[in-house]
Amino acid sequence: MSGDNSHAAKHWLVTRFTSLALIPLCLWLFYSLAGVAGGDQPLVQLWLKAPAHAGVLGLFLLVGFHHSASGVQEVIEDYISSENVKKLALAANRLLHLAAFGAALAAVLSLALKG
Amino acid sequence: MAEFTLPANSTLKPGKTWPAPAEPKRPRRFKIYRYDPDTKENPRLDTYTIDEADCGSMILDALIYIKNKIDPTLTFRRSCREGICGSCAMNIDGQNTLACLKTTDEINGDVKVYPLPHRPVVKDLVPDVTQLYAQYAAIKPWLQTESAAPERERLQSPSARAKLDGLYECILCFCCSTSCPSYWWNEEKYLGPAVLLQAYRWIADSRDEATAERLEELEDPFKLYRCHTIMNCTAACPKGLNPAKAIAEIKKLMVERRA
Repeated sequence: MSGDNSHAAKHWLVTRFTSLALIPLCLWLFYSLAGVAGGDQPLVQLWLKAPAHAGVLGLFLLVGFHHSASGVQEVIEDYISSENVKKLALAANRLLHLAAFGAALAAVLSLALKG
Repeated sequence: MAEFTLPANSTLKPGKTWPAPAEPKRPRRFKIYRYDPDTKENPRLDTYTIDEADCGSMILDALIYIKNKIDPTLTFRRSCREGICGSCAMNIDGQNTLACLKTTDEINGDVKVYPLPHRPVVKDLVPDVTQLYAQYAAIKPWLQTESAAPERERLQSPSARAKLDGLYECILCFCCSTSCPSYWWNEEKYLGPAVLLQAYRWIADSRDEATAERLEELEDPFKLYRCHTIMNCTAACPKGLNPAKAIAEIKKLMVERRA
């Protein structure tokens, strides 16, 4: 969002909302992981088959990766002064976060939907 | 890319140790940054010994003692000697503050005095604050109105006036802006805490009629949103003001404006 003036306040606000949303989502994730800790793959799969579990985990991934992309964007905007390198780094940041989110979501869905 | 190498003349070299006064009752050592860009030499740290028994209690008193009695070439700004003009802002014992408000007995050991950080140095303890003044001018720090001028003053209720407390006291010493890492990295685009506190001082003024325009001007990823609430500004302010809170208030108004 570098240079996009109209979105500056929105970007700031979304970063605050995602950080707030991550508090309950992280607590839920730690609690849930503690429940399946030490278990084998079928146990994790059984846990993920509950639509609520897979759904909230998907939400955690969406919010988490969005927040992470936002944070890295801030770092890039802070520390990279060359406009061309900055544009490239911002595009790479979005692409890598999107790819990582896609891969993580695919992993969750494949486990949840496996027979 | 980010720059990882220091510009020319950045490395501080050991400097001269000046003779101590004869038979001092309470000797105190000062290590002071010296730099003259005209010589093209690296900056150095000179050591001076003063007699605290023969000098006032403030760091500024000691600097004046050194200039008058030991080394007349030592250069620094000073004017009011009572924390109102902001001229003697410098980095003392690792903290940006005013030399006229800091006492020598607040500091343990040698007193280290440097210019405000991350500014070009004009000479010794004198930083170049041209850019900071230009940024201050850019926020139009005066009352803007559209309504017809009244015959006497534009009135303000006591509660509306109270909203300016903690804002109007800023003396533009720039201790806050020069202590802010976000300002160090993006000083040309980020306005910095001193100027943003001033911007909020006019936004918060009930008599000003340009609030929407002022907020519109700040709606930018760099002018305002480079503040990452590091809080060095609030820790550094020698007047006890809270620039970080003023910036947070502007961010809140930005959200309300969008809603």
